[in-house]
Order: sequence, then structure tokens, then C-alpha cells
Amino acid sequence: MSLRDRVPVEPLDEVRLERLEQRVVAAAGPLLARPRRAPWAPWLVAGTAALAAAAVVLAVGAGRERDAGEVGAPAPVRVATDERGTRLDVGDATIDVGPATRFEVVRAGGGVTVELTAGEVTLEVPPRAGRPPLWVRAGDVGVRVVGTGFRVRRAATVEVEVTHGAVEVHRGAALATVATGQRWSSTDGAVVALAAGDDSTAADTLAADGLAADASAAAAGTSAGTLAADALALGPPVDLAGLHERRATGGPKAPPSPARSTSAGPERARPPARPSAAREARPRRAAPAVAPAPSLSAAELAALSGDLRRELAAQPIAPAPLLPAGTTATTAEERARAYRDLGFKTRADASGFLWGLARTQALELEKDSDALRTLDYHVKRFGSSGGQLEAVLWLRVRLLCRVRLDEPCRAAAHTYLARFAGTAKADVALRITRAR
Amino acid sequence: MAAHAAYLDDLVLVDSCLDGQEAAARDLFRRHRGRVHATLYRVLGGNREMDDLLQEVFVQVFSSLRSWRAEASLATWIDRIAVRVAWRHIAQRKARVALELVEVDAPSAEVTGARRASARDGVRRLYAALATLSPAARLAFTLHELDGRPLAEVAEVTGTSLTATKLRVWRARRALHALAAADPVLGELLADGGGS
Repeated sequence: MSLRDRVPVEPLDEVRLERLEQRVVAAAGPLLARPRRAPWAPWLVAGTAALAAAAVVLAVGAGRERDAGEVGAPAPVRVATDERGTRLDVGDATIDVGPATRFEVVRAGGGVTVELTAGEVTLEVPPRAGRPPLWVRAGDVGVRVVGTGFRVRRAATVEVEVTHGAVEVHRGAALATVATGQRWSSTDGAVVALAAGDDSTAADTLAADGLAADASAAAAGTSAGTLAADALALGPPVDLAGLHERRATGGPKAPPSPARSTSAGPERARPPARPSAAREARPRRAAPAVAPAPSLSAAELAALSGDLRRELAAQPIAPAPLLPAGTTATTAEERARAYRDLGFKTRADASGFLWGLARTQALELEKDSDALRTLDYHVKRFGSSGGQLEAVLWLRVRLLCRVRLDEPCRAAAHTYLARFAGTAKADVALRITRAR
Repeated sequence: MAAHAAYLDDLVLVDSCLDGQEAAARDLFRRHRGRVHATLYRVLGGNREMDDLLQEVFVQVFSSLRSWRAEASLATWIDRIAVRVAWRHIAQRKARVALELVEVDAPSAEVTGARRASARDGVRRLYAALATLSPAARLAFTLHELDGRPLAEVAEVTGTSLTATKLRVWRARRALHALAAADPVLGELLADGGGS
């Protein structure tokens, strides 16, 4: 008889268990009612690892002990770097932290605020997809972002540079929109184009995305470059000469920029239109370094949407993993069941089988909602470590854009584009993000 | 096959909990309460304060559920929390726990038979001896020898290396056998139970 057998467990009686269950379930309600924090799940792990490597100090404002009984917003996270700086992947954003930088990340009401005390942070923020925007606050300057890459530097003055997308800079009653390749400074509150030499980050980022035309346009700040880039992005049906002509003759008003396309939603409701003179006085209108994209007619947009959806459907989808020998699965339902029930020994196996399940649900069973749910599980549980992230994110695009090119579709395309640039699929995704 | 099904079950269950479904929270509690209770019982040696400890474990589980990343199974993740709770309980109330064990596990009037009485006495003495160990050594020993977990799993749930875990179990055995040299009842229990 083992020692384990010599120490039997005395069971709790049913009455005690019942009372305990009631107390636990009652306590669970408020604890689980907090806003979901899935995108921040890797935050502490990745952040702590990166910080440890870079010899920085990470102080969680309130430990887990206190957090366990706390109902409300999570405790703020404070970060301070030494002379080396570091990089943090915080789920909602990737932050390159400059040397001697101090900031605090506060999460409340589903939104995220980075309170910059000193130094420099460069953020890459995926589209917020309907969630409250991310803010960076540096003294009396607030930067509002819904999906873009930008840098905020706080010393004697505050500077904001946008590498791609656009952000809103708030200071008191003043509001300025800073777009790709532009810089805002608290010295004069003006938005100016980055010089070619200054904008290496923007150019590098865009070039890395496979958008050479956009990169050169951002660096040179020329409207011709932007037009060429837009034509490239929108695809063959666009009549480039006609677009030039429409712009030259003062054609229809330009549609919102791609970054703005991610910002639709209740809280992004625009204020009523102001008189044009008032708009002219606003700093964000003062120095448009990048020309707005040309607008298209409804017929052109419809044709574009059709072409894009056809191209979308033509892109290959990664295969599902092979079922082990001896597995009997002749129908799609049986294959889905097999992927769900297969045993696995490694994380890669688990990721592969979950991908197989999602693929079967989407392409064979045409159960889009089930497939999207499975895909979201996959992203949530495996992220980039499962080996199928590219396939998973692309299948999300395909499912969400199957019917129409709406906001969820564009958000999915943004998500794919942020991770996998420079491929044929990324080109299609880019066009989707720009199709309005 | 069963592992994968359980894994998907965990995913669905956690997601339902995070959606605020009370039934899911109840289901999670029911699925894991037995194992967590057994672990706490074997580490602590009795049911005194068990309600409070179980509640503390599951409150921590629900408050941290969003941080579960599915890298470990949900059961292992919950066990880690249970072990942390047990550790803190031992460390903070070491003297009191030792006293409670003597009271709780003393043979009752219903117990008959010399052998069973001797076994219960042996268990009581075992936990009295365990109370003299460091919390780390006690946890490692009880999780391995009494809860039946492999050393690697003990290392995982206690957040220590395998080497450190082996060392702690070995030190606990050595200390217990030193005590057993002067206590024939404890010595008989350890000899019968293979705690060497």
C-alpha cells in the first residue's frame, strides 16, 4: 500500500459543497463581468520577458493579490527603461520604448491609455475594430489612434510623427490630424511634412509592406506618388489617366483615408460639418503633405468590389493537416468530428487540428459562424506560435468579406496586412482596406 | 483523442465563463472542485478551513481566467493556483495548522479496530511531522508522495525546477525518517507507504 493510499481524502458533505458552490458562483459573476482582456493576455508575459532582457523596471500598480478581489479596471502597469530601451508586444499594440523612457499603461472601459511621462515611444497599433481608441497622453497633449504606427517623443516639447495611417492630436481645444509622413510639434501646434531624410521610418515601414510607391510618396510627399500608389492598390479597373484628370479639374471630394476606414462606429460619429473657413483655420488642414485619395463612382466601386471578391476567392487556402492513418472520415462532418476529437501530443498538433476543424467548417460545411468562432479560438489560444496564423487570418478575411466589403471585412484585412505584408494575399487585403 | 476533446471543452468552457454565463462558472467549479479539494487535503491534512481555501482558490481562478493562455491544461493552471493558496496558508499559519491537524484527525469514537486506529494515528503523526518542514519541502513531498503527482508535474505546479523539486522531496524524506527513528508509529507508516 502506497503512502497515498494510507492518507485517504475525507470528502466534504453535500451541504458544505452546496453552500460553497453558491458562494463561489456568486463571487464569479462580478469578477467575470469586467471588460474582456483577451488582446492583453500576452501583455504581462511578453512585457516582463522583454523588460527583464533589457534591464528595465516593470511595476504593476497592484499585484494579483489585490486584483483578485477587485472589481473594476485592471491596475495600471508602469514601465521605465534604462539607457538601452526595449520593445514590448502588448497585444493591443507593439511599443518600441526609447532609452530613459517612463510611461504607464492604463486600461479602463475597454480603452487603453499610455501616459508618457518622459522619453520616446513608437507604437504600432492594429485596427481597434470597434473597440474604444487607444490614447497616448504626454502632458497636455493627447494622441488618439484607432489603428496606425506613430511615434511620440516627450522632452521639453512633445512631438508626434506618423509612419503610416493617421492619428488625431488633441491639445486643449485644438485638434490636428497627423497623417502618414507628417509631424506635429507642441512648439507651434502645426502639422508639417517630414523631410525625406527624417522620414526613413515611414519609408522603411511602407517599403517593408511591399508598397514601394507608397513609400516613395511618403518620403517625397508628392501627390503624383500617392496617385500612383492608390492606383496600384485599387487594381487594374481604375483608369489612372481619368483619375489624374478628375483631380486636375477639381473632381469629387476624396473618400476618407485607409486609416479612417477602420474608425467607423458609434464613438467615431463625426460632429456636424463646420463652415469651410473654420476648417481652413484648423492646423490639420494647414499642410497636407500627402494628397487625399481620389474618389470613385458607385459603379466603379461596385466593379471593384466584385473584382476584389473574385480575387479573394482565388487565393489559395493552406491545406488541413492529414488525418492519421486508420481514421475513418469520408464526409465533411466526419472529418470535422475527427479533427475535433483527435489526440495530440504537441502544441503544434493541437494548433494544426484546430486549423483543420476551422477549414473544414468554412470550406466544406460552409458553417461560417462556426468557422469564425473556431478561428477566433485559434488566434486567441495560439497566436503566432501555432504555425497556422497566416492561414487563420486569411481565412477570416475570406469569410468576413464573402458577402460584402464592410467594416468587419476591412478590419480583418487590416489585421492580416499588419502581420503578413508583401504577398499576393496582402495586396488583395490592402485593396480591401481601401475599398469604400 | 480524449486530451484534445478535453482541450476544446476547456476552451469552450472558459469562453462561456468569460461571456458571463453563470452556468459555465458553476460547471467549471464542479469539474475541478474534487481534484482541488483532494490536493489541498493531502497538502494540509484535514478539512478545517477547507471551505475558505476552496473559495479562495476558485475566486482567484475566476479573477484570473482571462490570463489563461491554454499553454497548460486548465486543470494544471488551476492546480498552480491551488498550490499557491496552500503555500501561503502553510507559510502564514504554520503553527496553527499543526495544532488543528492533531485535533481534526484524532481517532473518533466510531473508529474500531486497532489497525485502523493505528493508521489514523500514523497519519496524524505524519502531518505533525510535515508541519516541522519548510513550506516548500512540505508541498513538494505531499504533492509527490501523497497526491501521487510525478516530480515533473510537481515542479510545474510549484513553479520550480525539477532539480529543486527532487532536492526538496529528498530533504523532506530525510527529515521525516529522522523523526520516524524516534516514533515507531510514524516509522511503520512510512515503511508501509514507501515514503523512502
